[in-house]
Amino acid sequence: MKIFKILSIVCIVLLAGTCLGFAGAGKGEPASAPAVEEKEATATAVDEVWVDEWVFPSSNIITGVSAYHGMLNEFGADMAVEEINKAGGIRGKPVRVRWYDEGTQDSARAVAAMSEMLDRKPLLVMGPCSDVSVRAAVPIAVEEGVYSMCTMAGYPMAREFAPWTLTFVANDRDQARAGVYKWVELVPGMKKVVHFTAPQSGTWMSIAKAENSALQDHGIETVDIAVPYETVNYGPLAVRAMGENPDGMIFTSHPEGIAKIIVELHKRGWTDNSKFLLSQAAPVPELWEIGEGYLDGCYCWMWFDPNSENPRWQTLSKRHEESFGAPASFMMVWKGYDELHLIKKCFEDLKITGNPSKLKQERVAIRDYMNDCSFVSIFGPVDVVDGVRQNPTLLFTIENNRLGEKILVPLDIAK
Amino acid sequence: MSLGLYYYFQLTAIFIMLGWTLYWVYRIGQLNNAPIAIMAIGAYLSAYAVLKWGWPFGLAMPFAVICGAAFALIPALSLGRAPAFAMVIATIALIFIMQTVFRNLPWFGGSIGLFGIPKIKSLLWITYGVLVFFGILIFRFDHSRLGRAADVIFEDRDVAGTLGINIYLFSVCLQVMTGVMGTVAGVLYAFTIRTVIPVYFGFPFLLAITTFIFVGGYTTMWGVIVFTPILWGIPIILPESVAVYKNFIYGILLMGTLLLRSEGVIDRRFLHRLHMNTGIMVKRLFRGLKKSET
Repeated sequence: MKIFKILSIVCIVLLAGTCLGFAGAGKGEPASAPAVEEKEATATAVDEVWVDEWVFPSSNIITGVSAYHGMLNEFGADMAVEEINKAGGIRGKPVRVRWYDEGTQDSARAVAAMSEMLDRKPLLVMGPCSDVSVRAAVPIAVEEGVYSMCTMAGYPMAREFAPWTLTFVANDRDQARAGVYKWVELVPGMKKVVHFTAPQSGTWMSIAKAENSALQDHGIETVDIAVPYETVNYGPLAVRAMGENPDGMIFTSHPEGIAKIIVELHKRGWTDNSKFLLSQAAPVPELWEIGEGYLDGCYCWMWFDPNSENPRWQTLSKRHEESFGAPASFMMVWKGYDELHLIKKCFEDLKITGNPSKLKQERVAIRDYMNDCSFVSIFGPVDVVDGVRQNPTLLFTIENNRLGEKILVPLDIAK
Repeated sequence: MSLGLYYYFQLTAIFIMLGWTLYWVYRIGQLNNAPIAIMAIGAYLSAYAVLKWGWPFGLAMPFAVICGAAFALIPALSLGRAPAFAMVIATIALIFIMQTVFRNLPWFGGSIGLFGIPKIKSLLWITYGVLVFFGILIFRFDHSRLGRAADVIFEDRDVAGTLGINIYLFSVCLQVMTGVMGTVAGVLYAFTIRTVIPVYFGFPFLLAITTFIFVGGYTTMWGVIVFTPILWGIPIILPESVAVYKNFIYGILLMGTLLLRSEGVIDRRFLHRLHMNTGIMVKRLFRGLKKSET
C-alpha cells in the first residue's frame, strides 16, 4: 500500500509540475493582434500596421464526438494560412490562428472559450462552430462589440445576433424549398414522404421544416421520424419508416445516421434510390464509407459544389483525399479557409492597423465591411448581404458513391 | 475582472452546486442525475418568466425554484426505494425526456430555444451567496443526526431500518432538496449564458460533475470544492497543445483516483489527518510563542 501511496504522490506532483511548467510556456506565445505594445514608438504613419503578427482567435470543436469537424476546420484554415503567408501575409505581416476548444455541444466550454478569446481584445473572432456554441457564446461577443464569424451556424441561429454575426449558411429556407421542388419535379407521383430529422439541431430542424413546407405545397403528406445522435441500432427506424408505406424519403440528419438508415432500408427491400433526397450536410467521408454500395441514384441538395473546378478547391480537395481517403465535400473543411481569405481582403481594403487605440473603431469597420461585401471564395466570387453569404442551390445525383451530375436550381422555383 | 476570470468563477460555482447535488443523494448510496433535468426546468421557467411575463429576476427565481421542487418530487416518490443502478438509469432517462419535452414545446422556442435573457449586474455575488448558503446547509446536515443516519444507510440499509430510519422518506427529502439546488443552478446558468436551448442540459454536464465528484471525493463535501476549480480550469491552465487532451486527462485522473484512492482524493481519513495535523501544528506554534515570551 505504501508503494501505491508514494506512486500517487509522485503522480500528483508530476502533474502539478507539468501544469505549472506548461502554463508558463503558454503565456510566452506571441500576443494577439492588437496587444503588441513594443511597436508604439515606431508606428508613426496613420495606416501603419501595429502588429508583428496577426493572430486570429478561433473557437473550434477540438474535443468530443464532433472533434472530426474541428479537425477539418483546422485543415482548411492551415492551408489558407500557408497560402496567405506565402503571398506576404496580411499587409505584410504573417498570419496565425490560435485555436480554442468549444467542445461538442458543450455550452459551458463554449462560453469559457469565448471569454478567453475576448480577454485578448481581438479585432474579431472566428467561430463558434456549433449551434449550441453560437447560442451560448455569441451573446458575450455581441456585448463586447466583437464580430463573430460563426459561419458554420445556420441562419436561424445566427440571425438573432445580427449585425454582429456572419453566416455562410445562406438563406437555407429558400434553398431547401428550391431543392425539394426540383426533386418533386424529377420524381413525380409521390403522395407520402417520410422525413428523417435531427431534433437536436435548431438549424437542421429549420431546414426540415422548410423541406416539409415544400412537400406540402405539392399536396404530399409528410411523416417526421427523429434520428437521435446517440442511436445505436438504426433498424427500428427503418422498419418504422417502411411501415408508413411512403413513396419517398428525405434525410435531414447526421451523415452516419443517414448512411446506416439507407443500408437498413435496402436490407428490408427498398430499391428505388431516386426517391431518397439527402440534405446538404450529408456528403462527408462517413456517408461514403458506411453507405458504400447503397447510395447510387440518391439525390442530394447542396449550396456549394464539391465538384468545383476552381483550382483552389481542387488543391484543397486533393490534400483532403490524401489525408482522409475521400475528396473534400463537407463545409467544415473550407470554413476556416474562406474566413481567412475574407479577413485578408477586409483588412487590406480597410487598412486595418491592429492599433489598440483604434480597436473599437476598427471592430465596427470590420463588422460593417463583412456584412456587405464580395470576396473570392474557394469556389469563386461570392457576395455577402446583411451578414449572409449568397449561394446557389444545387441538386446532385449520387454516382459511384460520390456526388455526380448537378442541376442548378433557381431559388424562385419555390416562390 | 477579466471576462475569462468572471466566467471561470461563475461556472465553477454552478459546477460546485451541481457536484453537491450528486454528493448529497450519494450520501445514502443513490446516484441521482435528476438535478441536471431539473436544472433545465429552472433555466427555462425563469427565462420564460423574465422574457414573456416581464417578471424581475428576484421573482422569477423563487417561482422557478418552487416549480422545480414540485417537479423533483414526482420522480423522487417513485425512485425513493430504487437501488443505485436503477436510479442512475432512470434519472439519465429523465434528462432525455426533459430535453425532448422542451424541444417540442413551442412556447419555449423548440430547438432554437429562448434568447435575450437580460444581464443581472451582481450575478457573481448572488451565485456565491447561494453557494455559501447551500454549503452551510450541507455542512450542517453532515454534522447532524441526519448526516449520521445517512452514513448508516450508505453502509447497510437493513441496519438503518432496524435503527428506525425511514429510508424512503429520507431519500425523497434528499432528492427534493437536490432538485431545489439543481433548479437554482439552472436559473443561475440561464442568466449567466443568457440563452437557453434544450441541448445545454445534457451529457457534458453529467460527465463533468461525475469526474469532479469522484476525483475530488464523494464522502465529503470538500472534494467538489477543491477539485472543481482545478479540473474545470485544466483547459485554461494548460497550453493549447496539452489542453486538447483534457478528456484524456480527466479519464486518467478518474481511473487513477479510483484505483489508488477509491473514495476520491479528499476522503474522511484525509480530513481527519488534516484536522489532527493542523491541531498539532497550532499547538506547537503556541508553545513556541510562549517559550519565546518567557
